[in-house]
Amino acid sequence: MTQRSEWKQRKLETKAKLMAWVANRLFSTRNHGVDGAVKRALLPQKKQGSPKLEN
Amino acid sequence: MSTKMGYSICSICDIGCQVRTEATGGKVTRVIAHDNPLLAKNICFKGVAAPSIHNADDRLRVPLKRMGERGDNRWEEISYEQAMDEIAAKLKTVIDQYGPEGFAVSTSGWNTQTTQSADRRFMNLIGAPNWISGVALCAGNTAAVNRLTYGWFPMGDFANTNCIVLFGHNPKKHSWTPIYNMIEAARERGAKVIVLDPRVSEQAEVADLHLSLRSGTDAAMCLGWLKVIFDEGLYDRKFVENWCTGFEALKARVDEYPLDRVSEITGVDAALIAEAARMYATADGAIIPWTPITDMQISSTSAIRLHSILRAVTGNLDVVGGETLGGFNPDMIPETELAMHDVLSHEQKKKQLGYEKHPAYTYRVAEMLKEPTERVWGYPYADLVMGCHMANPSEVFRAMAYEDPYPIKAFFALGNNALMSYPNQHQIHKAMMNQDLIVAHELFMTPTAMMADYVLPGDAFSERNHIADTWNWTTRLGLSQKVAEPPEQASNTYQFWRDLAFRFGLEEHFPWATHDDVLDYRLSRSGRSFSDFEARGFMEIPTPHFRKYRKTGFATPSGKVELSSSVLEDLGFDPLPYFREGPAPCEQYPYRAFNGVREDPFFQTGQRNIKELRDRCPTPKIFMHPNDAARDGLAEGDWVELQTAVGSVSAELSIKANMKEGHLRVPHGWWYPETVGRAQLAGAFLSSDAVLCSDEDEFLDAEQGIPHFKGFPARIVKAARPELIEVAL
Repeated sequence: MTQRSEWKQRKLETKAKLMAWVANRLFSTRNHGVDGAVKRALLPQKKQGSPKLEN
Repeated sequence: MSTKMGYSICSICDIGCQVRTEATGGKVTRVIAHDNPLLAKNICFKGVAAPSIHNADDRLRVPLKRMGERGDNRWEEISYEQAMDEIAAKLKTVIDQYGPEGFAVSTSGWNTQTTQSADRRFMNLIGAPNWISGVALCAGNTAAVNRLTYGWFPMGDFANTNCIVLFGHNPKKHSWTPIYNMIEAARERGAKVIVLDPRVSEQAEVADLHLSLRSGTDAAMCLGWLKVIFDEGLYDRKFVENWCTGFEALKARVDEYPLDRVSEITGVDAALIAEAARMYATADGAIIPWTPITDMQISSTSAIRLHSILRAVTGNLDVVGGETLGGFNPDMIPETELAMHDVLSHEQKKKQLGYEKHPAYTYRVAEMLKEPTERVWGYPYADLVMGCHMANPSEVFRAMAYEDPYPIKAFFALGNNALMSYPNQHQIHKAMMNQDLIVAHELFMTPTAMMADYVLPGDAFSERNHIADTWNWTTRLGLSQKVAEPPEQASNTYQFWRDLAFRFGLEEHFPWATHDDVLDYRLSRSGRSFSDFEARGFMEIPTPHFRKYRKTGFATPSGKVELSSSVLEDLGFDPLPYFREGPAPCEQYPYRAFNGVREDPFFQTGQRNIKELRDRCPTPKIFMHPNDAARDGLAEGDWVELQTAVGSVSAELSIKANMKEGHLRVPHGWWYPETVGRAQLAGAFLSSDAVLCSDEDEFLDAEQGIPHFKGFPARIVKAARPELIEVAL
């Protein structure tokens, strides 16, 4: 920890903020949009459909 | 019949996993993993068992009024309206006779979720300061003590850290599951893990370093780490110079703990202590996540402060890969605002039990931190993990039992088996027997509920909407949707307090008719309602900001990290951390026992009545090292009694080579629902670890007044198995 330069701190902070933004925008919504596409790509396909999420 | 599936925040334990819950015909049918790949692993067998819990035959479904003697467990069914009318009338009588300080409340937000600080709001409006919670011993007190050093309670940045230090904490697949998964992910990308635990725990087995320290010596260990870090210059000099006060005084204190002394106290080799300190201090981002172990020791305040100090001096505070100070989520009105702490007068705050003697998490410290908290975080009071501005539980039960320093004659327990959740269970029982009014709000008939005058059925997480704000531990908001119907006569805890407030003429302060209305109100600051939130998604994560102190300073009186605490000094305590030895083993009690340890299938005192969970752990088990067992002539599976100077528990012996010699592990929270009607309070005094520890002042942490659960003297003898309990349900 004591070796971090100001430049490195800022670089890490920018990256962390970007990752949080991605998580918030792309991975926190329902089964549609980019989130849904990513889920469909990453999760194993179900043999039977689940009931639809409410609302 | 229609089937619904919704996103849930599971409340079977305290971790709040995000899962999905399905219900058919208004009845929950299954709980399954989240459909987000980043969250899908966060589920355990307790959560999966939620349908069995929510639909259990013995779940409370109608309000009950006591018929026989207190504790007899004989009841009359009454309507919710009648119960609330009678409760309000009796509470008014108590308050008229003894003042509002004669009324105490014990609750657990982990279980109830929905209170939205309505309990504190009601209590503050009527002038009642004596609110307690199990978080006094677990996480809540950590939050309060962290504030003494830098004004907030940080959360570790598991996603970016390179070193994780676990002080006795042992997250597993089915216990603290999300933390376990984050540790696993960090380990997979190369992060080091250091475990400090008397046992070779599951985490210790795969750790990079395992320090098998003597139970209850966390503070000494941390002082040893600081000695290495200071002597070898492994601290962040620039941060210490610019942002810390009291460094020289701290360094002088640390010099009193050379490694050979620390080694002698902790039982860990000095070279290993030094290696661990170096690994932590030189990692490019390191965290010491919250641990329930450090929370429950005679030097707990110092030990928690030392964790805080280690974070600060190594430059790990509010940085990527370190531990971040989140603050309040700006899009949600925080509970601290709803609680209306300012309406409770200074005179009544001073009556809060613990205010004088053990003030660390009482209103006394909260008042001292008001100005800096408002300056940095925007609110004068910070309700963190429910653990700030609490009364001291032991003092509350003493007042209930002995009317000293004043009588408490009305006690409400909501989602909290209070009889078994704090030290000195015999005193708590006496305290309850001395009450004019006890109300329990519960899912099941617990031993505490059996002691009540009125028992009200509560709702479960599948039966209500909710937005979890992690009690400000993080800034994340999580969605929980109602998919099932609660029993007709059940209420959520917000509804309970609102209905009581109306009977006290406080309706203007409770304008939200339902819990859903409160959620709409809390989101109104961001121009949204609950419906808007659930339409968008299941979680919100605000963009993090790091090193915020450069603009605002820290929320301490000096505006800096207080290595030497000005608050503790003003209160007359040692402002520097120290190690205090707990009670030593003796010829009569030769072992060091530690309790408060939960078993995977259960959360605290719950779920022993749920077959699919009880089958995983039918009996309580005391763990003992093989050499100790051989010396005492004990064998695996023997039924034994663990005895201390103040109480004993009965349990099955499990001989484990991973235990440290001379130590005994006692499980937490055991009672036997199968003995209802046959054993006193369903066996609440047979195996409950809450009977083992004294809460006399000499055995308490001075600043917080919490007991020494980690390393108290005990002995173990062979005993007959209690006849009434049924191993196979």
